[in-house]
Amino acid sequence: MSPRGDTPAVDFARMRAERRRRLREAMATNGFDAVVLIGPSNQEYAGIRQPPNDAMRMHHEPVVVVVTAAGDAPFVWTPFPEGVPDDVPAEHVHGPLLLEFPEGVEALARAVAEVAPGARRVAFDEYTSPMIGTLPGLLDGVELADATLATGAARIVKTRDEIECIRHAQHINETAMYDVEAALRPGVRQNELSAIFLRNVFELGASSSIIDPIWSLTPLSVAEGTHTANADVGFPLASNDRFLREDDLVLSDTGITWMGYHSDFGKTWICSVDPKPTAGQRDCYARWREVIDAVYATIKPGATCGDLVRAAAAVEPKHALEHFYLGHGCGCDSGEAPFIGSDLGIAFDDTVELVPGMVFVLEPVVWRDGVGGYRSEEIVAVTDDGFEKLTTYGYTPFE
Amino acid sequence: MTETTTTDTLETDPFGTGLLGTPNLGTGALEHRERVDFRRLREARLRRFLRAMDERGLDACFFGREANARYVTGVRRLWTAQSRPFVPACLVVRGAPPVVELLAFSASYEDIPAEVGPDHFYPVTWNPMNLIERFRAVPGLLDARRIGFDGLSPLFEGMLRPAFPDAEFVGVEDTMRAIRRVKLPDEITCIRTAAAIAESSLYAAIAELRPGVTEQHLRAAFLDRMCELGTSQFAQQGTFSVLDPGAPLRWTTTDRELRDGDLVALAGGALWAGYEGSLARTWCCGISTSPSAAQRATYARWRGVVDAVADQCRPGRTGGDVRAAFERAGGGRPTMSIAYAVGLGHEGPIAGPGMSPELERAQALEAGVVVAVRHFEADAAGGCFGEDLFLVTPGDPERLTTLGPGPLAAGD
Repeated sequence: MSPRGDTPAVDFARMRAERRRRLREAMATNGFDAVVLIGPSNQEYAGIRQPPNDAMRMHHEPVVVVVTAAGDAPFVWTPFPEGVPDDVPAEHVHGPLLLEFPEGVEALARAVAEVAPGARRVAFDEYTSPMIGTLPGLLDGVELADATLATGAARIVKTRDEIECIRHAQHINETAMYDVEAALRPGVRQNELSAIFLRNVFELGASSSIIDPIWSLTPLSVAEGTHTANADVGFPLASNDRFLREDDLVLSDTGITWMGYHSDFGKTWICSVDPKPTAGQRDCYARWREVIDAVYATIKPGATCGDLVRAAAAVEPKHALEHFYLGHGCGCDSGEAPFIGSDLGIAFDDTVELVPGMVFVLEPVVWRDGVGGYRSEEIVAVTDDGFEKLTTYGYTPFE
Repeated sequence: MTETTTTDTLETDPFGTGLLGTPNLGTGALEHRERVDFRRLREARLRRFLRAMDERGLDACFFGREANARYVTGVRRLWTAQSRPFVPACLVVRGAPPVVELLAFSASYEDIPAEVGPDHFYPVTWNPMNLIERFRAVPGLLDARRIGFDGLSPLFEGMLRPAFPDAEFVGVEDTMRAIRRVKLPDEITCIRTAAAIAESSLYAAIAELRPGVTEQHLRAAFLDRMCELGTSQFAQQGTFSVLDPGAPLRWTTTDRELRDGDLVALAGGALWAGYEGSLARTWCCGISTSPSAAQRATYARWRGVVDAVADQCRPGRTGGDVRAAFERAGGGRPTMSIAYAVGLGHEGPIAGPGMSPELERAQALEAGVVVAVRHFEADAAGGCFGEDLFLVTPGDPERLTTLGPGPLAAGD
């Protein structure tokens, strides 16, 4: 398991330049003179990196990135100058602004006035607590706006380098999983599977683990499991030290990053000395294949996300968990726009047209209460004439 | 090591045993040495919070941050690294009794504390309008005049303001920081446990130090051991990096190979029941070599600074005293927090870069505060990085991280 020798050919300087151009175009469309980025994934998109720690640590060791319509390189206030690439001039890089305190927010307002003089529309992606109710007074005469209109528009279609980063993140995630699947035998605990997974992904060169690894023990009927809010399958359950035992149906879900880009891995497994799905579970898998194949047949530029949902529904009317979706985008966040087949509704899905470079995670679920079900996550990139699969892991023990 | 063992929930679940059905067979604790009474802890935290709501005249509060939602309810939502975009995870409406609503990531009741009833949680939604509709139906919320938030976003502000047109929106992270900083006894037990996990995990990485292994291998060893001990949630994912003479500390772990004689910074943190234990050490990767006299002198200077700062972790002192002690001991110009509070994760800096003297003086220390003290002593011999946790007590500060200093201190 060498961490080296198989890294993809990504031109990081080109990737940063292309992302900044897209971000600036989206800012122009929205009439933003400056965007203030506080969310780590938006900062990553702007080319600024930081250690991916627990959320509270990130709130208290904050990075701030300001992108102006007038300039090229972003302005950065950071405790981690090593996360700023060479294409940002040294005079754009400053020490941290403590945005959890009023004095830090006041300093931010002064900094914005300095780097974007005369700005009339300034957009934020997030507000910290001391910004609430105070920003209009601090940025006198400035109209405040929602920066995610620009970051969302820029991020939805990936560049070739971004797709290679996602592909490699997924490769690391999948490679780490062979050992985990082999270890899923009676008597193993969820935390032991997490240990194998995290050890492997870092040996393989992952930048970060991004969600608490999920090995969700799934009773075969909703009524047998813990009470749920919507009478649907109780998924995902947070992992602990619980034992997994013979014939347990286990739904895995993990995600890591490589150079800021996310993987997303989900499979249905059976914990057993000799994992064999029942005939009913095989039927679920067969139906799941029909669903995913129907969706695949629909993916091409010009189709809408609504077309994907209708294709899945034609095979299996209820093809997703009620609290999730048929699919979602994947990039600098593991779940990002567009959400496909969610409670945003089919009318929303029809507003999103597929464009080459979009990357989706498709995660249909076929469930037969009392029998169990099948769920797998598949990453696809929309191409000029169809799509390309970025997920390669197999379907054991169902195939 | 789970917050809710099967026996516990069956006996305390007031809604009947039918709600918690998913098998949950683990080995949380032995029956005669129960370590933490989590229900008592949750109730004590909620009482503190409701008192704070009264004092600030808050009718309702929305929390998007996991640590705040956990403090107020004990909910264990799916943990993710990095801060999330603001989405309300928890809503509390003051009343008799108060209403607590939770947005769970799963549809399952499994990780919801028993005292939050089954009608008061709902699965994550992707349509903010559906969330707003749900909030509008919460008893008492439409009458709220003053609503607190621990964060917000333009998107949610744009939807919540029209839904509650007469309410004043106020930021309350400062209130949460204040009530979270002084720990309850059960919280200290959680932090001690997390510190022990972090120490054990860091030492597992130290035991792997040898020429030819990579920095990433050390991080893999740290997280492997941490998971083996029962938690896969990290406070700091870890800095495992070779110290280059004269260079700043590199936070990013890479696939660089260790060589004989390298000085290596190792830092990591674990979360247990949401509480943080973190520490850092500098160790020598030496098979045929041992630390030089210059490297040991660097360690001695590091020790002097950290001891001086730790000695300020006493009731009545402030971040201003911490800063002064740091400077008197020759700490120089800090490149990272000199000291910060720890509890449900990082709980804010006490002294360090970007803070005005007034802000540092406003960070008051009192018994029950847990302080992380950290310092990087840079120099031409390679430097020294370390971090320890200290509990402020009525007497002398108590060091919660007990791992020894390693080969750099040899001969001390």
